[in-house]
Amino acid sequence: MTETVTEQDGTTKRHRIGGVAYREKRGATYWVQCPACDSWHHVSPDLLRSQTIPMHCPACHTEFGAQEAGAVRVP
Amino acid sequence: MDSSLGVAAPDLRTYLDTLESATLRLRDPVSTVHDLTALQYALQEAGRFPVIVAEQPRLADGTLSALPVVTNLSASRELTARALGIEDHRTFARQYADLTRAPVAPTQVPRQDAPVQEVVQTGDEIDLTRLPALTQHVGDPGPYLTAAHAVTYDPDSGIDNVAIQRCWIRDRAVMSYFPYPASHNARNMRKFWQRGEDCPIAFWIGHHPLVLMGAQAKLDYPESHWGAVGGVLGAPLRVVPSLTHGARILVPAEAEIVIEGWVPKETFGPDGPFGEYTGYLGPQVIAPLCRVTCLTRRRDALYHDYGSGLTDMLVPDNMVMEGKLFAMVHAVAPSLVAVHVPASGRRFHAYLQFSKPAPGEVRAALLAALAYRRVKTVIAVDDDLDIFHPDDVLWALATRVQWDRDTITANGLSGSMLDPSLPEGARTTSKMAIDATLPPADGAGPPPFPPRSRVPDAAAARAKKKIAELMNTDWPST
Repeated sequence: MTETVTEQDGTTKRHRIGGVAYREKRGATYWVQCPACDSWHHVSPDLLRSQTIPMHCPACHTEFGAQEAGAVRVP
Repeated sequence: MDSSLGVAAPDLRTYLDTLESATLRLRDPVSTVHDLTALQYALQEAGRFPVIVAEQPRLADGTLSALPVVTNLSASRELTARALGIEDHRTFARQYADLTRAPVAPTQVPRQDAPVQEVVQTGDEIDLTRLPALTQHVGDPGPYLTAAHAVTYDPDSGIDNVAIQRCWIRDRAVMSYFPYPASHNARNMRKFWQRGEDCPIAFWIGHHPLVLMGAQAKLDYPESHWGAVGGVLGAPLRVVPSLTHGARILVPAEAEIVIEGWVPKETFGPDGPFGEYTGYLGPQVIAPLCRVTCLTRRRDALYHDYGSGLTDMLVPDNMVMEGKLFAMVHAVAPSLVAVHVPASGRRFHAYLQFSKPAPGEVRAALLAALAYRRVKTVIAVDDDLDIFHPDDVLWALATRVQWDRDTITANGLSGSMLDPSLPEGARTTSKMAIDATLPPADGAGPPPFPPRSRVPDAAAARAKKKIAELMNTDWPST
């Protein structure tokens, strides 16, 4: 028996197989793109959400906040 | 020379003197950016684990550092065990548990007897960027101290703590410092901050493996590591008050380098990404910043680096884990004879070996081992196998396990947040234990399982002799 559970944001994250909760395998990595050199690196969610501590591009050493990032990919 | 004992106190250089034939000495310049780490990977892939000494490390700006780099110091289980006087690394778990069970308090020496304070740099003399710290992996943002043993103390009890914690050199006298949030050093730091005070700290680098392995003992909080070091040494460790913090923070007198400073209250910066023990880059995180007040070192100091995620770092930490697991599990399972935390499993796998366990004992042991934070999978096997040979462990899994009967899974346990398989937002992990032991013999007569296929000992000896005579290097190796 399979049951798809739809989350509030519209994604389907959980199923039910034989009455046992089943967690779909998903990645958990947060990526940001440097606004200066376009390279990507991954960050902790705490750092991505921080209003005071900038992220640091390991490639070109530019410091930037989440609003300035070229792009952000969240799980 | 320790005048009280009349014998030389152990240190890194005297240890290296005993290892010339096991050392790869690089006399020409070699880059601290990726090249030394690449050499470690290549050696590891070739199954070779010499100590590496780079006599002329070239820094990122192209200049040569005055301090040689020692790395791969503990990539070999055999060498690491022998450094502690343990001839057979397979017996390490039991012997390390015994050594650290009887702590020996350290002895304080004055500055004039402390080689690590031969050179003292303060103020504008401090320049961390001249240290030959390695940039190890693609994606690391710059040079990291990887063998820096951070010393802090609990402001309530005054008891100190030691732990290896990475530091990213940001400037001449500033580095980020990443104590894992659940670590004892992070706890001490938060206590100071809650009092409205900056946290005093010192980092020591480079020592004999006896001291390095004792300092990594897994202890309760608060509990000083100097006693465990003394237990491993079999004598008091010689320590000296740090110049910035006095006797509140002691450092080993025979270390190579000490960096002293403060972690200012609630002062953070980004740190990472950093190549972790998992074999993946850990994410860029929020980390405290350390303001350096003083750098002391020997005149001809050696800089020690651990290859993060390589056997160089996994072997010593995993061997110390084996000692801790042995003590934890043996308390409930006296038939435990050996423990192996294999580098292939990073720090997540543990193999337990038993000799004639009583009914129920193996499962009790498995549950005890699962309680260890980093361990994620535990496999129990018998003493007819070699737990240091992965083929033997896989053979037991293939032929001695019924998965519905012989496995235990448990969710919601403490684990490593660096495990990339964890779902988003998880604070706990899922673990599994596998009983891959044989069923117990029940009374007289043959055991209730089939005999292993084998050839007679005499025939095996004749075969080995024949192969030695015929050895042909052109034979296929795979």
